[in-house]
Amino acid sequence: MSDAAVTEQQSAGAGGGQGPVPAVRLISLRRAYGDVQAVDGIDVQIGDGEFFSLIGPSGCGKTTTLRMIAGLVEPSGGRIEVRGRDVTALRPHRRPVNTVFQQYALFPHLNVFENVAFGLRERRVAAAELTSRVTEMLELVDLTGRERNRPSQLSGGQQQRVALARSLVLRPEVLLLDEPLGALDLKLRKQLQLQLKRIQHEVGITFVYVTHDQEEAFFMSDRVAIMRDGRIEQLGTPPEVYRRPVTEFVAEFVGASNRLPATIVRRLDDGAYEADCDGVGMFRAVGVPGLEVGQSACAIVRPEAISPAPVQTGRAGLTATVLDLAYLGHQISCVAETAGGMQLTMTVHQHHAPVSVGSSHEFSWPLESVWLLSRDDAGARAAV
Amino acid sequence: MVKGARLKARSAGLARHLLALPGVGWTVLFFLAPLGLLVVYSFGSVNLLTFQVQFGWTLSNYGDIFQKLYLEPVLRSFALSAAATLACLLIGFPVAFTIARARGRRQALLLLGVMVPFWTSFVVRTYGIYDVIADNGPLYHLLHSLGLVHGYIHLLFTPVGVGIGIVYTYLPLMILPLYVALERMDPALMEAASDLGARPWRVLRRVILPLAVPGIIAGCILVAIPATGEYVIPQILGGGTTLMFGNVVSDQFLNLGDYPFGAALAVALTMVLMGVLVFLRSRSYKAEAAVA
Amino acid sequence: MRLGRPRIASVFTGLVLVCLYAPIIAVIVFSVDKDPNLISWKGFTTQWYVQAFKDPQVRRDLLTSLEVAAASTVISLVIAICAGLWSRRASARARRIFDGMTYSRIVLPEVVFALGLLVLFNKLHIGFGVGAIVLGHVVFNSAYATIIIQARLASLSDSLEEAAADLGANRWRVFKRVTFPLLLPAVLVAALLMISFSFDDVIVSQFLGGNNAEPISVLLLGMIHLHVTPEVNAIGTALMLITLITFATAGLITLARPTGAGQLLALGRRAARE
Repeated sequence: MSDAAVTEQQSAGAGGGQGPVPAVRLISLRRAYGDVQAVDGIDVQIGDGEFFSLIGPSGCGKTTTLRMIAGLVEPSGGRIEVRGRDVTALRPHRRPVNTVFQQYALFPHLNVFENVAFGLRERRVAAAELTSRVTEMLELVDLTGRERNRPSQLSGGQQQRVALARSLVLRPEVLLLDEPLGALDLKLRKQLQLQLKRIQHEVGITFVYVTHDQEEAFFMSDRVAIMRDGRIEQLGTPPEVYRRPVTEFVAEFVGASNRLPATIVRRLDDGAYEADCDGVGMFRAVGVPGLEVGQSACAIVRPEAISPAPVQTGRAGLTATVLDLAYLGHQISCVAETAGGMQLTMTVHQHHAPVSVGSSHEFSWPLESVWLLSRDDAGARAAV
Repeated sequence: MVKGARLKARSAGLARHLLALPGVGWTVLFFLAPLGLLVVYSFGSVNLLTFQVQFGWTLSNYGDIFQKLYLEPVLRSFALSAAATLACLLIGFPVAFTIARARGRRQALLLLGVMVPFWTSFVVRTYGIYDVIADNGPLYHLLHSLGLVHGYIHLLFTPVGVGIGIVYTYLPLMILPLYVALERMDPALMEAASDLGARPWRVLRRVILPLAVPGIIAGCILVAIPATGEYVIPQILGGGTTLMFGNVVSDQFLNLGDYPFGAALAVALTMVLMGVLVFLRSRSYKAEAAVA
Repeated sequence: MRLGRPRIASVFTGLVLVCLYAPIIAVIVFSVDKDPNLISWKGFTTQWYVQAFKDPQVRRDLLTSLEVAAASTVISLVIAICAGLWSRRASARARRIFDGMTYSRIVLPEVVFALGLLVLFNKLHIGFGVGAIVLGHVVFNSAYATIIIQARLASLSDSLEEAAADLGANRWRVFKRVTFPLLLPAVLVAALLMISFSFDDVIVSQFLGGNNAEPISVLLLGMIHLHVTPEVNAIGTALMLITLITFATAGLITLARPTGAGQLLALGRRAARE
């Protein structure tokens, strides 16, 4: 993890990562499969009531991490604490956490009511209380009236909600969700994202959410951890991670962005840098702390920050030829290429887009929207 | 990780392997041990007056298999098995083809029609054939009225009768794998072949048969292997005269008391069948690869 | 011209089916025919059944078959369920060795291992009889059951059991509340098929019964050797009905629920040898 990431983690305010006792604490947690380090030493504190997401490409170790918290995978090293209690050696059925599985894992031989009641029966909850808790929970997830249905008779979205109810009815300290919306189509996903967020608000339980969809994670989470090769690359609130990615990998993963090659020319006292970029010239911008003078860097410019306007004070820009235009409702996605062969992607508002394919334009962006980071992200990783 | 947890995990692992114990134990005690015993016996010798078995390392039991008295049923087993397999293939192919081309309910009914006899008792089906091929039985009358046979023929208690029995009882085993192979063949292939000018016989030879090879081999394995080791059919339809390998083997144990020689026959039978199986399996892998 | 002369092939198929059923139907018909000489139809009667089931030997042997089927099925199920649960967590190498053991019990000619058991029991002075037959039947029945249970378990997602553990069930409770209920159709189908195989078995039953026990199939075999009488047909029809009903029930269960018994159901005992 880079220094920057550590700072982010320490400064994590939202959701209370520094609360009196964190809901979940992972201490140099690792898991190896043969020679492969699926999870390679991660340290995280998740606050009480927080909506926390682990995101990253497939194979980055996010699901393994989640399954270790659930007790379904044994760690090869490290420690897991839930509300200050060490649960590392506990078997899954003894842990105060519950999981919503990727394909829901609803019991096909039981109806909806019995699926939701499964865990309560394990705890020998009295019949009257059991019925009222199941009924209440089905109401919360909008499935009243479906009690006698088998899971196979439900739609994907309904199955997902049964899985959620089945876990929530046990009032776990922490709810783990493993790509719970992965099997659904886009429209349903959006709908359920809202519903999930609402439910989390209502029950106030800590959610640890695993997804490969950064948009989904950003929409719902208080904080996200971006994982790569078994490590946490960056941890912070969605705006932090989005605006100030610490590595090229994170910048790439959290959304389409332009990465312009630049060289650091000078370090300024206020933590900003002066950088030089081909076709743009010298400009002043903030970036990852600790960049060296002369180091080749990357200037991150968000597509929505660029507009077809001439360079003025407080802005930087370049001239490029429009290659392609695509209409996305009220916005236009535009790809332009500089004389140097560098491509630039931007989204511009329809009404100030007097651009057409083949025409040459001056494009510019405000300097405060630029973020500099080390080009060689291996360097950042080596700092761990 | 906590040390206690690791210890717990290890003992849990051992406990898990306990689940394999009943199966492994049973196999070792009541399958591998008897087979090992047969192998040991097959190298021993017996005093035919006292029936005392002397264990040793003689190969004479294996040599004795080649005496005419024993070689005849052994060779008959192979010949009958091969002939019956071929007959099953010739009869089964058009049937499998018809079922594969049929659709919907008709196909399901035809398949069920082939399967249901298999769900009835093997013993009873075999003796059902007994009446059919008996002297003066329905088959005799049929052949006569068709003019295929003149004068008196005798099928029961002959190799031909046993062969008919094998074909009858094993036919579904040939039809079903053939059906599977033909069913997954795209009918458009045949249309393409005839569109390209191939006549039906040539379509069969150049398109259908090559694609059906995996099914043919699978069917041959299913029929030939158990047929060679068949015991019940010659017992019922062979009438004590037309014997096969399995009968000769059991005879040594049940009636003659020559355990070492019987054991050598049993070991030889097993070896031969395994050899055939391995050979056919290797062909079927090749055929599967060629079709896929 | 249409390919393969479908009409000719269809007619041929019809003829083959007739030939497949004719001997079976003949047995059934003669079991209810008044003619004791089995030559022509002389009217319907159930007298041969009555006669057969009054025969104390038939009743005793039927009971023997039932005992053997029940005992070998129960033992085989225990072996198969344990094996199935084990093999899901076993390493690939251990699994290969174990599966080799399972398949060899099916592929090897029954005559060979039946004789091996005969020699072994002689050597160990284990008496022949119901117990010995059961031991032998379990050798093959447990292999078929293991294959069915393994196939069913392989199609079950691990996550169902993980979910149960996650919801607070310990190992035993996971098995009782999730694994076993999901396995139940396969267990039933395996049991039915094993009962059918047991009833129809001749070789092990004949070799290991000695003078103490004679299952119904062995009795039938002996009676055929003497003379095929209407009584034999009655016993034969009854035996066919037992195997047919168990098989058909297994088939119906498999149509309704996944059981992992596909090939065995389609081809019967002699078929799983591939």
